[in-house]
Amino acid sequence: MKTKRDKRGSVTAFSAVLALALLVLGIGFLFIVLYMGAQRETKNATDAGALNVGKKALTDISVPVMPTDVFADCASDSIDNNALRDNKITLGRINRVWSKAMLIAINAEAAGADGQAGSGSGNASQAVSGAEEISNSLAAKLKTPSNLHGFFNELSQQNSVRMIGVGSSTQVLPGAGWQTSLMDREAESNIELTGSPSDNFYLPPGYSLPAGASTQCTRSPKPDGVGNKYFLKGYVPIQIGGKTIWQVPFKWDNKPILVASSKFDAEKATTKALEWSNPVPNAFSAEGQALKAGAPGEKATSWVLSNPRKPFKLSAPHSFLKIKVDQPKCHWYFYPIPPIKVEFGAAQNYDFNSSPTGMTGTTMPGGGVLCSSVTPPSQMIGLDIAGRSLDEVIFSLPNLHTSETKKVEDQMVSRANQMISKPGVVITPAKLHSCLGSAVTRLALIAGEKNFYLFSKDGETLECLPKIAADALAFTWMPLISGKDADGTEKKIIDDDYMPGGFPLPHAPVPLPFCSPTPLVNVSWVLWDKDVYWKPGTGYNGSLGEIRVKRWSEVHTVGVCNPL
Amino acid sequence: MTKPIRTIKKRGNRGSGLMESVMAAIILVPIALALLDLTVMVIANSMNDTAAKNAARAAANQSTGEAAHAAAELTLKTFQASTLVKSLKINDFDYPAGGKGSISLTTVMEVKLPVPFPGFAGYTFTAKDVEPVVGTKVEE
Amino acid sequence: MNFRAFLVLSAAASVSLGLAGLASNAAFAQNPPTQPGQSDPATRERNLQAAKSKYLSIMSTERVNITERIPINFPLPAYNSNVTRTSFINTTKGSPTATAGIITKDAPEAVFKWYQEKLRNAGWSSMAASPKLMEKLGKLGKVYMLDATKDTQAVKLSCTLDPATQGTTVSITWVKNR
Repeated sequence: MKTKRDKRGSVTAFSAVLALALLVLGIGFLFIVLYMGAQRETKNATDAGALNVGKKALTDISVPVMPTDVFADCASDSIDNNALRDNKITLGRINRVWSKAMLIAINAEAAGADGQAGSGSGNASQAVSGAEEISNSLAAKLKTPSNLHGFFNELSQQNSVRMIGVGSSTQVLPGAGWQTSLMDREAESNIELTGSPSDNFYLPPGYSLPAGASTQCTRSPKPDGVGNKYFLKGYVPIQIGGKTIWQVPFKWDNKPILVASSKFDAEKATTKALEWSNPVPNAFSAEGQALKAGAPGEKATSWVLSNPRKPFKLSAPHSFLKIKVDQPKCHWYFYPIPPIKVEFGAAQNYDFNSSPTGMTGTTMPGGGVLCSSVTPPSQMIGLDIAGRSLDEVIFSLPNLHTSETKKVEDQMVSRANQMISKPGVVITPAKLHSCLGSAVTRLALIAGEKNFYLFSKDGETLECLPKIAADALAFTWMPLISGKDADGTEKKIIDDDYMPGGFPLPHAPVPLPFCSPTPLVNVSWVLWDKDVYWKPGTGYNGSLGEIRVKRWSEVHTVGVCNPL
Repeated sequence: MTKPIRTIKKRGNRGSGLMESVMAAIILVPIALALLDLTVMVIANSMNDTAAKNAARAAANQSTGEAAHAAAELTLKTFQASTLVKSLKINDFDYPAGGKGSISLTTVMEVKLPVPFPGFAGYTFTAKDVEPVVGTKVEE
Repeated sequence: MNFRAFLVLSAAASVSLGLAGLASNAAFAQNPPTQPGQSDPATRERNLQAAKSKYLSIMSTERVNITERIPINFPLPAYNSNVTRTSFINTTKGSPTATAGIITKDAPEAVFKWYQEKLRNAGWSSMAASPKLMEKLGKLGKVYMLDATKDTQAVKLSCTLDPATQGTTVSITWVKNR
């Protein structure tokens, strides 16, 4: 009976148990799926938050600089020199600051090697100290997690974690999950060098960038468009004249990306130390937690490598090169005691707006051998400068001192490139000559202008204009610095380059008693002369240097008489 | 005297197993089928979330709204339609002006339940994802 | 010694040297001149040579050489119509450079065009100052200028109107950079 009673209803009981088991399993499965889904949602929200941290850290954390600060011109993400500055140095701009300090140090070092350092060396030290100060402040801000929390929440909260519960969201979980790292060591920074090692990166003549300071794009495979460009190397000490310059690596055209924790951890300053005592980080970890009211939720960590994806050329954005043309003068020389030459009479001015013009010198008593007096014949003066452009005034005839002329050209080309911020733009000697040789400089010289400014209003093209026009064209910055002098000392580079010019003319000296002018030797000729001076500027105060051109004519008059 | 009783008992015993099975099936099969539907719904929801995430991430890597939308569409194409997933498409797409800010994207997935219940033959899932735009360069 | 003092001294020295030269001239002191105040031919010749040597010492120091004739190997042809005078000066050290001068009765524009054609035919690339520029300089019709280059050679040529004769003074400055 008992057995029979047990058999009856056993399927029902079994079914009930099975149903219960199925329900339990089903609910359990649902919870597992929800848990896993919640974990995935939390991770996704954390990824979005971390990416936003990597993005906003580039722009929204900044160190203020005064508008008069030497690095105020770096406070922009634009290559346009005329673009307004916001007086903030961010992670995306910090390499601009360091590279400008580097350029100043390079210019000072090069000037020092030529014995023309002046106050440039001191300015270079100040520039590097200034850059370091800004860098340290920025590093401190970037390493303070609370400064990044807002960026995280901004995005993480917008992503649904509905599997945790209605109304729940992913928020910052402060603590050890918020760290920084120094990734992509020895990779390129976002500062591009001009040219290549073969043209010495258009750095000042005689100066060579330290080995290991530059690199080509380290991305593999190399992206299209990067070509054979060279960049400064990141997280590598670059020694310039005993000063150490740093760069933060930002691989070319990379976006802020999520990275693996293993790579992040391997490059943390605490894991792998850097010589840089207070490095500016380029990678951040972020930890978030998805919470449901009254219950523990999920947490997740993400690691992001930042990149402004904005390259700049090694430059001093707000800078200029001054070109000064001295008043041309005509000097009169005589030979009373051959072959000694004596200047007699005041040098006479001639100018770009009146040349060529006939000029006569003062009669020199006893200005020749056995001569009572010698009067130079009227000579055509100014053919060397008449209607000339600034380029011709500096580089054209007389230009027999070819190596010195090349030195002047090299200095100017190097400095011109330092004004350009747009990557890929190279100011070649031909471009420089084209700029200096513009009709504007020709007309300005005729109009009596003697001071010119070589500068870039847009960080891309070169201009050469008189001060008033330069101030107007680069109105946001040039008026503030155009009055500054180069901080180096002046040196004559082209020393009395000369050549005969004009028409050798005969003349008749007045002989002493019992003497007569010697036939065929009383002649007057004109020499065109040129000196070019170079005063280097580091760019610390905006001035990258000064070229001074001195043009003059010499009228040599030989008076020789012989006894009757 | 006892025979009829035995007969009655025998009749009851013989049909009770079947009856119990039917009764059990009436309870168990719907539960099992509901669980199947639930599993499909959970997986579909997860797929939709992933699709929204991937599409938004792809779009966030672009520098223009046009390219971003195209990238998002391309990403969704990798999700093959099936007998269960009827469609997956972008319902809402918001690319910030000039690429400044974050992209917001909503996907809609229509799912047909493998075991339709009366009045509940399918379900439409929506998933939203917000990602920072990283495809643009640092704004000038 | 200041500059003025130097000038006075040098001028005085010149005069005294000249007078000393006269005094030390034996022919002048002992032999009566063939004409009043004139030395005999041999002495005159010596005096001339002495004067020329002084001139040559100047030319040597200044590293220039001046002649009236333009050498035939001057890179540009010499204008030869209605020419009244030529002159030539070249440096004797350093990179070769020279200036040829020509005075002609022809008008500047004609001379200038003649040179433009010659330069073009000889493969020089030249650039002339525009009339607009010359007008700015106030020299329109009075001065014509051009710059020309060929390989490592450069030329600066000007044709200037002589207001007195309405002729032209041509100046051709040539340089060859090594």
